[in-house]
Amino acid sequence: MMNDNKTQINAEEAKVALEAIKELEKTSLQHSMPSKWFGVAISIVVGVLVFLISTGLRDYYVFPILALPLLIAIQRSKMKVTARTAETNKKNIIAITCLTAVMLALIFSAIYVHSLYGSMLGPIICSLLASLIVYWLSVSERNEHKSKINQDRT
Amino acid sequence: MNTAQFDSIIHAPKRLQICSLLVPLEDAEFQLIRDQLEVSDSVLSKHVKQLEDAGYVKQRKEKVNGRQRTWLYLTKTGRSAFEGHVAELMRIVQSSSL
Repeated sequence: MMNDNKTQINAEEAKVALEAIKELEKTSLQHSMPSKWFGVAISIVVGVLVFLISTGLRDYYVFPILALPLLIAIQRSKMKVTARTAETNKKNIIAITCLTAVMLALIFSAIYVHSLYGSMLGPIICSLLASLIVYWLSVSERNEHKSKINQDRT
Repeated sequence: MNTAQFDSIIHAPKRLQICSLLVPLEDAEFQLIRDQLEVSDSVLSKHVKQLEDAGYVKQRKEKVNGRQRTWLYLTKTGRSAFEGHVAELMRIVQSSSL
């Protein structure tokens, strides 16, 4: 039910209301900003997972696999707001597909290097790269959030 | 694009604040909105009820660690009404500066 009230207000009141709206929207966005430590923790867990998979340490897979949803659950319970998720569009699907492909490429490269030379260097480098990619994504997410906060509605 | 339309339900100061806090979010906890508005639970509930009656806001209850948490979110109608209201406020400001 849309309220069809024709009440008129003066320009000064409208301006004050618009400024208040802008400030409150900024406050909301600040509350929904993902924590820096969450990004760090997720990137470490992803790095550990890539390292374990590439070195074939199957007994330990369970720890990072359990840690991922646990971290997300902790973050969710700490946050008092949920940020609006971007609508699933072609760009997002391409980005997720590319990220998955890069992660798989890193894992397979690490497995290849490890099986060929028996060296731990490949898995270590690949897991570091995986961690850096996830950390970079979390930083980008925070930066995007900050730019949204500084963006002017008008 | 939303039609610019003044909405007196939304324009009341506390309700305008509630909608402004909710609009950039998927949902927000009742407690956070209450603290931001610096009102009591009952005052916030009263305003939320009015917004709910207009079909603008909905509540979702969730139990976390045995504690009940209430989440508020804007409905599609609420979001559209809010955008329309903001557009009308902008129109008023712009027409006065002409």
